[in-house]
Amino acid sequence: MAELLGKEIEAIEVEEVSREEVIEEIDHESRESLHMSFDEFLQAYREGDLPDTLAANELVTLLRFAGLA
Amino acid sequence: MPGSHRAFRRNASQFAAHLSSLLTRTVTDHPLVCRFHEEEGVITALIRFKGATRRERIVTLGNGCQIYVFQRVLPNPEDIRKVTTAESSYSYGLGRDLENDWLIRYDYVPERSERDPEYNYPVGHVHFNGYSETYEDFEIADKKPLRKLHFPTRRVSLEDFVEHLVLELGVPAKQGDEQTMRLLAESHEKFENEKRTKD
Repeated sequence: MAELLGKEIEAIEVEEVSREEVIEEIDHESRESLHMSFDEFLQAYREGDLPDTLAANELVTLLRFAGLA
Repeated sequence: MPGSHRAFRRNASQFAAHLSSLLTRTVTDHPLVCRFHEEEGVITALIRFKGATRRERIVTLGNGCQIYVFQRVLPNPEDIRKVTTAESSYSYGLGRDLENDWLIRYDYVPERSERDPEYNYPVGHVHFNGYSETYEDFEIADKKPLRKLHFPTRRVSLEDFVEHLVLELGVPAKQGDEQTMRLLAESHEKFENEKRTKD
């Protein structure tokens, strides 16, 4: 394991996620933060109508992460 | 799983562990996690704070400042066993509502810059969610809100971000300022010498 300033770097938690799990997460987070379902979020993204918020930015990253954008 | 994906997974996990250690040895106990998505032969990794919800992934530091960090990495096109950053975003705010009251957001978006012909902004840039009376009064055609301007920067590393938090915003450093600056300098040098693939 690599070191940082003489100490071994801690192992990190690794998760495997399916496209369906990412969609579920976007749906949940989008409803909570933006009051939109996944489908509404995706449509707003495609039409360039998403609000400029940290939540919207991260959810767009999740779309790209799952190969949906 | 192709051997190159195995190597990418190993390298992306190590990179994520390095970034996580950087944070947990300096300003927070909250670790990062590395999530992989693989489908139709395409693999990507998302590195962000641990937590099931966004609320849990917004991390409050010792002086009350809040930060949010995420980074999406892909196989490097020149050597798919290696890791390259597709996008990263590091933000902070001084209150208890980062979602609406963030102050600074450092974005680095090389993938978007390469793929989106309508994206005409700097690959590395900073957004400032503040107020300027002179900006409000200044006449510009199709003027954007100040927070939407892309102030050009070079890529701002996580080390730069943490250094700024400690030196200028008074975020308590877990090992003291001097040791923390040494750690950040070592990490930065290691990245520049061994891992950097793009500006």
